[in-house]
Amino acid sequence: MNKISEIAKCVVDETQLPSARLGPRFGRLDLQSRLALLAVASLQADFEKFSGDRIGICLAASAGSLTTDLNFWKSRKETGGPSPTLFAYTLPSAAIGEIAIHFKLTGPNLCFVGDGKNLFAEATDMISCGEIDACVCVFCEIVSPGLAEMISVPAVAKASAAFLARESNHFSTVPGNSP
Amino acid sequence: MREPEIVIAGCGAVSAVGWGVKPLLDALKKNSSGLRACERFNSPKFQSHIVGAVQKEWRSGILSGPDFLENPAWCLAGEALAQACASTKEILAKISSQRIALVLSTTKANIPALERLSENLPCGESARRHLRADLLAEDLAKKFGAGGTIQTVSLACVSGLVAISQAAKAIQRGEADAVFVVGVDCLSEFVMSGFTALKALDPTGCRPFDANRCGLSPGEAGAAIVLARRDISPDSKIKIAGFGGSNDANHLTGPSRDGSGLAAAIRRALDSAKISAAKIDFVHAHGTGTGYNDTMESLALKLVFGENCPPMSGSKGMLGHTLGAAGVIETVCCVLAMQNDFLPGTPRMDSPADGVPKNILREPRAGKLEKALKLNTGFGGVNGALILSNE
Repeated sequence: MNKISEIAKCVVDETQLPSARLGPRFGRLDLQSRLALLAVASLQADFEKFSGDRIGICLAASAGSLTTDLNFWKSRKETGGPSPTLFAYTLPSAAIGEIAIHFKLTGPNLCFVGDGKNLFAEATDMISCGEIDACVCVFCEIVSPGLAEMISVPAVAKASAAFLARESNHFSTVPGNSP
Repeated sequence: MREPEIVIAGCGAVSAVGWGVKPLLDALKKNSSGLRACERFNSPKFQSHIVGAVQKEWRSGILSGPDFLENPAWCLAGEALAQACASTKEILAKISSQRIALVLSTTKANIPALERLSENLPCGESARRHLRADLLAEDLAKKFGAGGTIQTVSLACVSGLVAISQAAKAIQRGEADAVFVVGVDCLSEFVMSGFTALKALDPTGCRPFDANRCGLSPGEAGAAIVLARRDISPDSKIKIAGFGGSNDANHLTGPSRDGSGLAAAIRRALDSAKISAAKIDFVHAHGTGTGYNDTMESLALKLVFGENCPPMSGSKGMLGHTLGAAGVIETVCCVLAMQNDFLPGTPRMDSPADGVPKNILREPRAGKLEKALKLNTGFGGVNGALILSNE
Protein backbone atom coordinates (compact mmCIF):
# COMPACT_ATOMS: atom_id res chain seq x y z
CA MET A 1 0.00 0.00 0.00
CA ASN A 2 1.22 3.50 -0.81
CA LYS A 3 2.15 5.80 2.04
CA ILE A 4 -0.43 8.41 2.99
CA SER A 5 0.98 11.88 3.61
CA GLU A 6 -0.24 15.09 5.12
CA ILE A 7 0.15 17.44 2.18
CA ALA A 8 -0.83 20.71 3.80
CA LYS A 9 -2.35 22.06 6.98
CA CYS A 10 -3.40 25.41 8.40
CA VAL A 11 -5.35 27.14 11.19
CA VAL A 12 -7.55 30.20 10.74
CA ASP A 13 -9.51 32.42 13.11
CA GLU A 14 -12.05 35.24 12.92
CA THR A 15 -9.44 37.95 12.34
CA GLN A 16 -8.75 36.51 8.88
CA LEU A 17 -12.37 36.56 7.72
CA PRO A 18 -12.61 40.20 6.53
CA SER A 19 -9.84 39.71 3.98
CA ALA A 20 -11.19 36.38 2.68
CA ARG A 21 -12.29 36.42 -0.97
CA LEU A 22 -14.27 33.24 -1.43
CA GLY A 23 -17.15 34.21 -3.67
CA PRO A 24 -20.31 36.30 -3.39
CA ARG A 25 -22.09 33.87 -1.03
CA PHE A 26 -19.29 33.77 1.52
CA GLY A 27 -20.67 36.53 3.73
CA ARG A 28 -24.02 34.76 4.03
CA LEU A 29 -22.57 31.57 5.50
CA ASP A 30 -22.62 30.94 9.23
CA LEU A 31 -19.40 31.45 11.18
CA GLN A 32 -18.53 27.75 11.29
CA SER A 33 -18.90 27.35 7.52
CA ARG A 34 -16.94 30.54 6.80
CA LEU A 35 -14.03 29.48 9.01
CA ALA A 36 -14.07 25.91 7.72
CA LEU A 37 -14.13 27.06 4.11
CA LEU A 38 -11.39 29.62 4.71
CA ALA A 39 -9.23 26.98 6.42
CA VAL A 40 -9.59 24.64 3.44
CA ALA A 41 -8.96 27.43 0.93
CA SER A 42 -5.85 28.44 2.87
CA LEU A 43 -4.39 24.99 2.26
CA GLN A 44 -3.87 26.13 -1.35
CA ALA A 45 -4.17 22.50 -2.31
CA ASP A 46 -4.50 21.61 -5.97
CA PHE A 47 -7.59 19.44 -5.68
CA GLU A 48 -7.80 19.21 -9.46
CA LYS A 49 -4.98 16.70 -9.42
CA PHE A 50 -7.60 14.24 -8.21
CA SER A 51 -11.00 13.32 -9.51
CA GLY A 52 -13.58 15.18 -7.37
CA ASP A 53 -15.37 11.95 -6.53
CA ARG A 54 -12.14 10.50 -5.12
CA ILE A 55 -11.71 13.25 -2.51
CA GLY A 56 -13.55 12.81 0.78
CA ILE A 57 -14.28 15.36 3.48
CA CYS A 58 -13.98 14.49 7.19
CA LEU A 59 -15.08 17.17 9.62
CA ALA A 60 -15.38 17.36 13.38
CA ALA A 61 -17.03 20.18 15.29
CA SER A 62 -16.23 20.49 18.98
CA ALA A 63 -19.63 21.97 19.85
CA GLY A 64 -21.66 20.72 16.91
CA SER A 65 -23.61 23.62 15.43
CA LEU A 66 -24.79 25.02 18.77
CA THR A 67 -23.56 28.58 18.13
CA THR A 68 -25.66 28.77 14.96
CA ASP A 69 -28.49 26.91 16.71
CA LEU A 70 -28.63 29.66 19.31
CA ASN A 71 -28.57 32.39 16.65
CA PHE A 72 -31.38 30.66 14.76
CA TRP A 73 -33.46 30.25 17.89
CA LYS A 74 -33.07 33.96 18.66
CA SER A 75 -34.00 34.84 15.06
CA ARG A 76 -37.58 33.59 15.55
CA LYS A 77 -38.34 36.76 17.50
CA GLU A 78 -37.09 39.04 14.73
CA THR A 79 -39.33 40.67 12.13
CA GLY A 80 -40.19 38.07 9.51
CA GLY A 81 -39.78 35.18 11.93
CA PRO A 82 -37.14 32.48 12.06
CA SER A 83 -34.47 32.71 9.38
CA PRO A 84 -34.63 29.94 6.75
CA THR A 85 -31.04 30.73 5.79
CA LEU A 86 -29.79 30.24 9.34
CA PHE A 87 -31.81 27.03 9.75
CA ALA A 88 -29.87 25.47 6.90
CA TYR A 89 -26.71 25.93 8.96
CA THR A 90 -28.07 24.36 12.15
CA LEU A 91 -26.28 21.12 11.30
CA PRO A 92 -22.64 20.44 12.15
CA SER A 93 -22.24 19.08 8.63
CA ALA A 94 -23.40 22.26 6.86
CA ALA A 95 -19.76 23.31 6.47
CA ILE A 96 -19.11 20.06 4.57
CA GLY A 97 -21.79 21.08 2.08
CA GLU A 98 -20.18 24.48 1.58
CA ILE A 99 -16.69 22.98 1.11
CA ALA A 100 -18.07 20.39 -1.33
CA ILE A 101 -19.91 23.05 -3.36
CA HIS A 102 -16.97 25.48 -3.45
CA PHE A 103 -14.35 22.93 -4.48
CA LYS A 104 -16.67 20.50 -6.33
CA LEU A 105 -15.71 17.58 -4.12
CA THR A 106 -18.24 14.76 -4.58
CA GLY A 107 -16.58 11.97 -2.60
CA PRO A 108 -17.93 10.48 0.65
CA ASN A 109 -18.18 12.51 3.85
CA LEU A 110 -17.88 11.93 7.58
CA CYS A 111 -18.94 14.39 10.28
CA PHE A 112 -18.41 14.03 14.02
CA VAL A 113 -19.27 16.05 17.07
CA GLY A 114 -16.42 16.07 19.58
CA ASP A 115 -12.70 16.55 19.92
CA GLY A 116 -11.75 15.46 16.41
CA LYS A 117 -9.01 13.12 17.63
CA ASN A 118 -10.24 10.41 15.26
CA LEU A 119 -10.27 12.59 12.12
CA PHE A 120 -6.90 11.58 10.66
CA ALA A 121 -7.43 7.92 11.55
CA GLU A 122 -10.81 7.88 9.78
CA ALA A 123 -9.47 9.75 6.75
CA THR A 124 -6.46 7.45 6.54
CA ASP A 125 -8.70 4.42 6.80
CA MET A 126 -10.90 5.61 3.92
CA ILE A 127 -7.84 6.20 1.76
CA SER A 128 -6.06 3.00 2.67
CA CYS A 129 -9.08 0.80 1.99
CA GLY A 130 -9.50 2.40 -1.45
CA GLU A 131 -12.73 4.33 -0.88
CA ILE A 132 -10.97 7.57 -1.85
CA ASP A 133 -7.53 8.82 -2.92
CA ALA A 134 -7.38 11.94 -0.77
CA CYS A 135 -9.25 13.57 2.08
CA VAL A 136 -9.83 17.08 3.38
CA CYS A 137 -9.89 17.06 7.20
CA VAL A 138 -11.41 19.98 9.09
CA PHE A 139 -11.72 20.62 12.80
CA CYS A 140 -14.00 23.47 13.90
CA GLU A 141 -14.02 25.00 17.36
CA ILE A 142 -16.85 27.53 17.39
CA VAL A 143 -18.40 28.62 20.69
CA SER A 144 -19.95 32.10 20.82
CA PRO A 145 -19.88 34.04 24.11
CA GLY A 146 -23.63 33.43 24.54
CA LEU A 147 -23.25 29.70 24.03
CA ALA A 148 -20.17 29.62 26.25
CA GLU A 149 -22.26 30.87 29.13
CA MET A 150 -25.01 28.35 28.38
CA ILE A 151 -22.83 25.24 28.22
CA SER A 152 -20.01 26.38 30.53
CA VAL A 153 -17.10 26.14 28.11
CA PRO A 154 -14.72 28.91 26.96
CA ALA A 155 -15.66 31.00 23.93
CA VAL A 156 -13.57 30.23 20.84
CA ALA A 157 -13.75 30.67 17.05
CA LYS A 158 -11.17 28.90 14.90
CA ALA A 159 -10.89 26.15 12.34
CA SER A 160 -8.00 24.00 11.22
CA ALA A 161 -7.67 21.99 8.06
CA ALA A 162 -5.34 19.41 6.57
CA PHE A 163 -5.16 17.53 3.31
CA LEU A 164 -4.16 13.89 3.24
CA ALA A 165 -3.36 11.97 0.05
CA ARG A 166 -1.62 8.87 -1.22
CA GLU A 167 2.00 9.58 -2.02
CA SER A 168 1.72 7.71 -5.31
CA ASN A 169 -0.34 10.57 -6.68
CA HIS A 170 2.89 12.66 -6.72
CA PHE A 171 1.00 15.48 -5.19
CA SER A 172 2.82 18.74 -4.65
CA THR A 173 1.51 21.95 -3.23
CA VAL A 174 2.53 25.09 -1.48
CA PRO A 175 1.32 24.76 2.09
CA GLY A 176 -0.80 27.60 3.36
CA ASN A 177 -0.19 29.49 6.57
CA SER A 178 0.83 26.41 8.54
CA PRO A 179 0.68 26.66 12.31
CA MET B 1 -17.20 -4.77 2.93
CA ARG B 2 -14.02 -5.95 4.56
CA GLU B 3 -13.75 -9.04 6.72
CA PRO B 4 -14.87 -10.19 9.23
CA GLU B 5 -18.59 -10.33 8.53
CA ILE B 6 -20.75 -8.05 10.66
CA VAL B 7 -24.28 -9.02 11.62
CA ILE B 8 -27.22 -7.28 13.21
CA ALA B 9 -27.64 -9.08 16.52
CA GLY B 10 -30.53 -7.07 17.98
CA CYS B 11 -32.68 -3.97 17.66
CA GLY B 12 -34.75 -1.55 19.69
CA ALA B 13 -37.15 1.22 18.71
CA VAL B 14 -39.41 3.88 20.16
CA SER B 15 -41.39 5.76 17.54
CA ALA B 16 -44.73 7.24 16.56
CA VAL B 17 -46.15 3.74 16.06
CA GLY B 18 -45.26 2.39 19.45
CA TRP B 19 -42.91 1.35 22.14
CA GLY B 20 -40.65 -1.43 20.93
CA VAL B 21 -39.85 -3.39 17.81
CA LYS B 22 -43.10 -5.40 17.89
CA PRO B 23 -45.42 -2.38 17.32
CA LEU B 24 -43.09 -1.27 14.52
CA LEU B 25 -43.39 -4.70 12.89
CA ASP B 26 -47.18 -4.60 13.30
CA ALA B 27 -47.37 -1.14 11.73
CA LEU B 28 -45.18 -2.24 8.82
CA LYS B 29 -47.41 -5.25 8.20
CA LYS B 30 -50.62 -3.19 8.45
CA ASN B 31 -49.17 -0.26 6.52
CA SER B 32 -50.48 2.03 9.25
CA SER B 33 -49.35 5.57 9.93
CA GLY B 34 -48.29 7.06 13.25
CA LEU B 35 -48.68 10.62 11.98
CA ARG B 36 -51.17 12.56 14.11
CA ALA B 37 -52.24 16.13 14.85
CA CYS B 38 -50.17 17.33 17.79
CA GLU B 39 -51.70 20.04 19.98
CA ARG B 40 -48.27 21.30 20.99
CA PHE B 41 -47.64 22.49 17.43
CA ASN B 42 -51.18 23.66 16.69
CA SER B 43 -50.23 27.29 16.17
CA PRO B 44 -50.03 29.72 13.25
CA LYS B 45 -46.30 29.73 13.96
CA PHE B 46 -46.06 26.33 12.29
CA GLN B 47 -46.95 25.31 8.76
CA SER B 48 -48.34 21.99 10.01
CA HIS B 49 -49.06 20.23 13.26
CA ILE B 50 -49.19 16.74 11.75
CA VAL B 51 -46.14 14.96 13.12
CA GLY B 52 -44.79 11.57 14.10
CA ALA B 53 -44.79 12.03 17.87
CA VAL B 54 -44.04 9.38 20.47
CA GLN B 55 -47.21 8.98 22.53
CA LYS B 56 -46.47 10.05 26.07
CA GLU B 57 -48.94 7.66 27.74
CA TRP B 58 -46.99 4.59 26.60
CA ARG B 59 -44.73 4.67 29.62
CA SER B 60 -46.05 6.95 32.27
CA GLY B 61 -43.34 8.12 34.60
CA ILE B 62 -40.68 7.94 31.91
CA LEU B 63 -41.96 9.66 28.81
CA SER B 64 -44.55 11.84 30.47
CA GLY B 65 -42.38 12.96 33.40
CA PRO B 66 -40.07 15.94 33.71
CA ASP B 67 -37.17 13.94 32.28
CA PHE B 68 -39.00 13.58 28.97
CA LEU B 69 -40.02 17.21 28.93
CA GLU B 70 -36.47 18.44 29.50
CA ASN B 71 -34.40 15.60 28.11
CA PRO B 72 -36.37 13.64 25.48
CA ALA B 73 -33.22 12.72 23.57
CA TRP B 74 -31.89 10.81 26.58
CA CYS B 75 -35.23 9.09 27.20
CA LEU B 76 -35.74 8.01 23.57
CA ALA B 77 -32.15 6.89 23.01
CA GLY B 78 -31.93 5.17 26.38
CA GLU B 79 -35.17 3.25 25.97
CA ALA B 80 -34.30 2.07 22.47
CA LEU B 81 -30.85 0.96 23.58
CA ALA B 82 -32.26 -0.80 26.63
CA GLN B 83 -34.50 -2.84 24.29
CA ALA B 84 -31.62 -3.69 21.97
CA CYS B 85 -29.42 -4.74 24.91
CA ALA B 86 -32.22 -6.89 26.35
CA SER B 87 -32.63 -8.66 23.01
CA THR B 88 -28.89 -9.44 22.88
CA LYS B 89 -28.26 -10.19 26.55
CA GLU B 90 -26.68 -13.59 25.95
CA ILE B 91 -24.37 -12.29 23.24
CA LEU B 92 -23.27 -9.26 25.24
CA ALA B 93 -22.55 -11.47 28.25
CA LYS B 94 -19.75 -13.09 26.22
CA ILE B 95 -17.98 -9.76 25.56
CA SER B 96 -15.97 -7.62 27.95
CA SER B 97 -17.23 -4.06 28.33
CA GLN B 98 -13.98 -2.68 26.86
CA ARG B 99 -14.73 -4.53 23.61
CA ILE B 100 -18.14 -2.87 23.20
CA ALA B 101 -18.13 0.46 21.33
CA LEU B 102 -20.93 2.97 20.80
CA VAL B 103 -21.78 5.14 17.81
CA LEU B 104 -24.46 7.79 18.28
CA SER B 105 -26.34 9.25 15.32
CA THR B 106 -28.16 12.53 15.86
CA THR B 107 -28.62 15.90 14.24
CA LYS B 108 -29.93 17.96 17.15
CA ALA B 109 -29.29 15.85 20.30
CA ASN B 110 -31.29 17.36 23.18
CA ILE B 111 -32.18 20.63 21.44
CA PRO B 112 -35.24 21.25 23.69
CA ALA B 113 -32.73 22.20 26.40
CA LEU B 114 -31.57 25.14 24.28
CA GLU B 115 -35.17 26.29 23.98
CA ARG B 116 -35.65 26.05 27.75
CA LEU B 117 -32.37 27.69 28.70
CA SER B 118 -33.04 30.58 26.29
CA GLU B 119 -36.39 31.19 27.97
CA ASN B 120 -35.03 30.76 31.50
CA LEU B 121 -37.26 27.73 32.03
CA PRO B 122 -36.17 24.99 34.45
CA CYS B 123 -33.58 22.73 32.85
CA GLY B 124 -31.71 20.05 34.77
CA GLU B 125 -28.00 19.49 34.51
CA SER B 126 -28.23 16.30 32.43
CA ALA B 127 -30.69 17.91 29.99
CA ARG B 128 -28.25 20.78 29.52
CA ARG B 129 -25.32 18.40 29.20
CA HIS B 130 -27.13 16.44 26.48
CA LEU B 131 -27.41 19.54 24.31
CA ARG B 132 -23.93 18.40 23.32
CA ALA B 133 -24.25 15.27 21.23
CA ASP B 134 -20.84 13.94 22.24
CA LEU B 135 -21.75 14.09 25.93
CA LEU B 136 -25.06 12.34 25.22
CA ALA B 137 -23.05 9.55 23.57
CA GLU B 138 -20.64 9.43 26.49
CA ASP B 139 -23.45 9.08 29.03
CA LEU B 140 -25.25 6.41 26.97
CA ALA B 141 -22.02 4.41 26.78
CA LYS B 142 -21.50 4.69 30.53
CA LYS B 143 -25.10 3.76 31.36
CA PHE B 144 -25.15 0.71 29.08
CA GLY B 145 -21.65 -0.60 29.70
CA ALA B 146 -19.97 0.27 26.41
CA GLY B 147 -16.40 0.76 27.59
CA GLY B 148 -14.82 0.88 24.13
CA THR B 149 -14.51 3.70 21.65
CA ILE B 150 -17.29 6.27 21.28
CA GLN B 151 -18.18 8.19 18.12
CA THR B 152 -20.87 10.80 17.54
CA VAL B 153 -21.90 11.02 13.91
CA SER B 154 -23.88 14.05 12.72
CA LEU B 155 -24.12 14.07 8.94
CA ALA B 156 -27.61 15.49 8.49
CA CYS B 157 -30.25 12.89 7.59
CA VAL B 158 -27.61 10.41 6.43
CA SER B 159 -26.21 10.21 9.98
CA GLY B 160 -27.84 6.88 10.78
CA LEU B 161 -26.46 5.00 7.79
CA VAL B 162 -22.99 6.49 8.33
CA ALA B 163 -23.18 5.49 12.00
CA ILE B 164 -23.93 1.88 11.01
CA SER B 165 -21.04 1.94 8.54
CA GLN B 166 -18.70 3.41 11.17
CA ALA B 167 -19.77 0.75 13.67
CA ALA B 168 -19.05 -2.02 11.15
CA LYS B 169 -15.65 -0.49 10.43
CA ALA B 170 -14.81 -0.37 14.15
CA ILE B 171 -15.37 -4.12 14.41
CA GLN B 172 -13.52 -4.85 11.17
CA ARG B 173 -10.52 -2.81 12.36
CA GLY B 174 -10.43 -4.90 15.52
CA GLU B 175 -11.37 -2.02 17.80
CA ALA B 176 -14.50 -3.77 19.13
CA ASP B 177 -16.35 -7.08 19.12
CA ALA B 178 -19.78 -5.45 19.25
CA VAL B 179 -21.06 -1.91 18.75
CA PHE B 180 -24.21 -0.17 19.95
CA VAL B 181 -25.53 2.05 17.17
CA VAL B 182 -28.05 4.52 18.56
CA GLY B 183 -30.09 6.98 16.50
CA VAL B 184 -32.13 9.71 18.13
CA ASP B 185 -33.83 13.00 17.38
CA CYS B 186 -36.84 14.53 19.07
CA LEU B 187 -39.63 16.86 18.04
CA SER B 188 -39.06 20.45 19.09
CA GLU B 189 -40.26 23.94 18.34
CA PHE B 190 -36.76 24.54 17.02
CA VAL B 191 -37.09 21.93 14.26
CA MET B 192 -40.73 22.81 13.51
CA SER B 193 -39.82 26.51 13.21
CA GLY B 194 -36.95 25.69 10.87
CA PHE B 195 -38.92 23.53 8.45
CA THR B 196 -41.77 26.07 8.59
CA ALA B 197 -39.29 28.82 7.63
CA LEU B 198 -38.20 26.68 4.70
CA LYS B 199 -41.88 26.06 3.81
CA ALA B 200 -41.06 22.37 3.72
CA LEU B 201 -43.99 20.90 5.68
CA ASP B 202 -47.09 19.26 4.20
CA PRO B 203 -50.01 20.79 6.15
CA THR B 204 -51.99 17.55 5.83
CA GLY B 205 -49.13 15.18 6.62
CA CYS B 206 -46.48 13.86 4.26
CA ARG B 207 -47.33 11.68 1.27
CA PRO B 208 -44.01 10.30 0.01
CA PHE B 209 -43.90 9.63 -3.75
CA ASP B 210 -47.58 10.60 -4.12
CA ALA B 211 -48.71 12.70 -7.07
CA ASN B 212 -49.97 15.31 -4.59
CA ARG B 213 -47.01 15.31 -2.24
CA CYS B 214 -46.04 18.76 -1.00
CA GLY B 215 -43.71 18.44 1.94
CA LEU B 216 -42.43 16.42 4.85
CA SER B 217 -43.71 15.66 8.36
CA PRO B 218 -41.19 15.76 11.19
CA GLY B 219 -41.07 12.81 13.55
CA GLU B 220 -39.19 11.72 16.64
CA ALA B 221 -37.64 8.37 17.46
CA GLY B 222 -35.02 6.50 19.35
CA ALA B 223 -33.63 3.45 17.59
CA ALA B 224 -30.79 1.11 18.42
CA ILE B 225 -28.98 -1.71 16.68
CA VAL B 226 -26.40 -4.04 18.17
CA LEU B 227 -23.78 -5.01 15.58
CA ALA B 228 -21.44 -7.91 16.24
CA ARG B 229 -18.91 -10.13 14.52
CA ARG B 230 -20.68 -13.10 12.98
CA ASP B 231 -18.71 -15.60 15.10
CA ILE B 232 -20.02 -13.91 18.27
CA SER B 233 -23.62 -13.94 17.07
CA PRO B 234 -23.76 -16.97 14.72
CA ASP B 235 -27.56 -17.21 14.71
CA SER B 236 -28.02 -13.68 13.34
CA LYS B 237 -28.86 -13.81 9.64
CA ILE B 238 -28.83 -10.17 8.55
CA LYS B 239 -25.40 -8.98 7.49
CA ILE B 240 -24.06 -5.49 6.75
CA ALA B 241 -22.99 -6.11 3.15
CA GLY B 242 -21.93 -2.72 1.86
CA PHE B 243 -22.03 1.04 2.25
CA GLY B 244 -21.44 3.99 -0.05
CA GLY B 245 -21.50 7.74 0.44
CA SER B 246 -21.23 10.79 -1.80
CA ASN B 247 -21.88 14.52 -1.97
CA ASP B 248 -23.91 16.32 -4.66
CA ALA B 249 -21.72 19.47 -4.36
CA ASN B 250 -24.73 21.30 -5.71
CA HIS B 251 -26.84 23.17 -3.12
CA LEU B 252 -26.96 23.38 0.67
CA THR B 253 -30.63 22.50 1.14
CA GLY B 254 -31.72 21.19 -2.25
CA PRO B 255 -30.76 17.83 -3.73
CA SER B 256 -29.14 17.54 -7.14
CA ARG B 257 -31.68 17.80 -9.95
CA ASP B 258 -30.41 14.74 -11.82
CA GLY B 259 -29.94 12.17 -9.04
CA SER B 260 -26.32 11.57 -10.00
CA GLY B 261 -25.00 12.07 -6.44
CA LEU B 262 -27.27 9.48 -4.87
CA ALA B 263 -26.65 7.15 -7.82
CA ALA B 264 -22.91 7.43 -7.11
CA ALA B 265 -23.49 6.48 -3.48
CA ILE B 266 -25.55 3.44 -4.55
CA ARG B 267 -22.81 2.34 -6.96
CA ARG B 268 -20.21 2.68 -4.21
CA ALA B 269 -22.38 0.53 -1.94
CA LEU B 270 -22.77 -2.10 -4.66
CA ASP B 271 -18.98 -2.11 -5.21
CA SER B 272 -18.43 -2.40 -1.46
CA ALA B 273 -20.84 -5.37 -1.31
CA LYS B 274 -19.24 -6.82 -4.46
CA ILE B 275 -22.64 -7.38 -6.09
CA SER B 276 -24.39 -6.09 -9.19
CA ALA B 277 -27.52 -3.92 -9.13
CA ALA B 278 -29.52 -6.91 -10.38
CA LYS B 279 -28.98 -8.67 -7.03
CA ILE B 280 -30.94 -6.03 -5.08
CA ASP B 281 -34.48 -7.23 -4.47
CA PHE B 282 -35.85 -4.36 -2.38
CA VAL B 283 -35.15 -0.63 -2.03
CA HIS B 284 -36.15 1.21 1.13
CA ALA B 285 -36.16 4.84 0.00
CA HIS B 286 -35.44 8.07 1.85
CA GLY B 287 -38.84 9.33 0.59
CA THR B 288 -39.39 12.56 2.53
CA GLY B 289 -42.45 13.63 0.58
CA THR B 290 -40.90 16.83 -0.76
CA GLY B 291 -41.11 17.26 -4.51
CA TYR B 292 -37.40 17.80 -5.00
CA ASN B 293 -36.28 14.85 -2.88
CA ASP B 294 -38.69 12.27 -4.25
CA THR B 295 -37.97 13.33 -7.83
CA MET B 296 -34.22 13.20 -7.30
CA GLU B 297 -34.45 9.79 -5.66
CA SER B 298 -36.56 8.42 -8.52
CA LEU B 299 -34.00 9.72 -11.02
CA ALA B 300 -31.13 8.17 -9.05
CA LEU B 301 -32.85 4.79 -9.03
CA LYS B 302 -33.41 5.04 -12.77
CA LEU B 303 -29.71 5.81 -13.30
CA VAL B 304 -28.70 2.68 -11.41
CA PHE B 305 -31.48 0.22 -12.24
CA GLY B 306 -32.81 1.58 -15.54
CA GLU B 307 -36.47 0.68 -16.04
CA ASN B 308 -36.09 -2.40 -13.83
CA CYS B 309 -36.02 -0.86 -10.38
CA PRO B 310 -36.69 -3.49 -7.71
CA PRO B 311 -39.80 -3.15 -5.54
CA MET B 312 -39.41 -0.05 -3.38
CA SER B 313 -41.18 1.73 -0.55
CA GLY B 314 -40.63 4.31 2.17
CA SER B 315 -41.63 4.61 5.82
CA LYS B 316 -41.79 8.35 6.50
CA GLY B 317 -45.57 8.33 6.00
CA MET B 318 -45.59 6.02 9.03
CA LEU B 319 -42.87 7.48 11.28
CA GLY B 320 -42.36 11.01 9.99
CA HIS B 321 -38.91 12.27 9.18
CA THR B 322 -36.89 11.36 12.26
CA LEU B 323 -33.71 13.11 11.01
CA GLY B 324 -30.67 11.65 12.81
CA ALA B 325 -32.66 8.60 13.87
CA ALA B 326 -34.01 7.96 10.35
CA GLY B 327 -31.16 5.84 9.05
CA VAL B 328 -31.19 3.63 12.12
CA ILE B 329 -34.95 3.13 12.54
CA GLU B 330 -35.47 2.68 8.79
CA THR B 331 -32.71 0.06 8.78
CA VAL B 332 -34.62 -1.65 11.61
CA CYS B 333 -37.68 -1.59 9.28
CA CYS B 334 -35.62 -3.39 6.63
CA VAL B 335 -34.34 -5.94 9.16
CA LEU B 336 -37.90 -6.69 10.30
CA ALA B 337 -39.04 -7.13 6.70
CA MET B 338 -36.13 -9.47 5.94
CA GLN B 339 -36.66 -11.51 9.09
CA ASN B 340 -40.40 -11.84 8.50
CA ASP B 341 -40.43 -12.40 4.73
CA PHE B 342 -42.41 -9.40 3.55
CA LEU B 343 -41.90 -6.16 1.67
CA PRO B 344 -43.26 -3.07 3.48
CA GLY B 345 -45.60 -0.63 1.73
CA THR B 346 -45.57 3.16 1.52
CA PRO B 347 -48.10 4.50 4.04
CA ARG B 348 -50.07 7.60 2.99
CA MET B 349 -49.14 7.26 -0.68
CA ASP B 350 -52.23 7.05 -2.88
CA SER B 351 -51.32 7.55 -6.54
CA PRO B 352 -47.61 7.56 -7.39
CA ALA B 353 -46.29 10.73 -9.01
CA ASP B 354 -45.02 10.70 -12.58
CA GLY B 355 -41.48 9.41 -12.79
CA VAL B 356 -41.66 7.30 -9.63
CA PRO B 357 -40.43 3.73 -10.33
CA LYS B 358 -43.38 1.57 -11.36
CA ASN B 359 -42.49 -1.04 -8.76
CA ILE B 360 -43.28 1.23 -5.83
CA LEU B 361 -45.33 -0.65 -3.25
CA ARG B 362 -48.44 1.03 -1.93
CA GLU B 363 -49.27 -1.95 0.32
CA PRO B 364 -47.03 -4.56 1.96
CA ARG B 365 -46.71 -7.91 0.28
CA ALA B 366 -45.20 -11.29 1.12
CA GLY B 367 -41.78 -12.10 -0.25
CA LYS B 368 -38.38 -13.32 0.76
CA LEU B 369 -35.69 -10.66 0.73
CA GLU B 370 -32.03 -11.50 0.27
CA LYS B 371 -30.49 -8.12 -0.51
CA ALA B 372 -32.06 -4.83 0.59
CA LEU B 373 -30.81 -1.36 -0.28
CA LYS B 374 -31.48 1.41 2.26
CA LEU B 375 -31.12 5.03 1.09
CA ASN B 376 -30.91 8.37 2.88
CA THR B 377 -29.99 11.85 1.69
CA GLY B 378 -29.61 15.14 3.53
CA PHE B 379 -28.88 18.86 3.65
CA GLY B 380 -25.38 19.69 2.54
CA GLY B 381 -25.81 17.40 -0.47
CA VAL B 382 -24.94 14.25 1.47
CA ASN B 383 -26.06 10.83 0.26
CA GLY B 384 -25.81 7.37 1.80
CA ALA B 385 -26.62 3.84 0.66
CA LEU B 386 -26.48 0.75 2.85
CA ILE B 387 -26.88 -2.83 1.65
CA LEU B 388 -28.18 -5.55 3.98
CA SER B 389 -27.87 -9.21 3.13
CA ASN B 390 -30.02 -12.04 4.49
CA GLU B 391 -27.82 -15.14 4.65
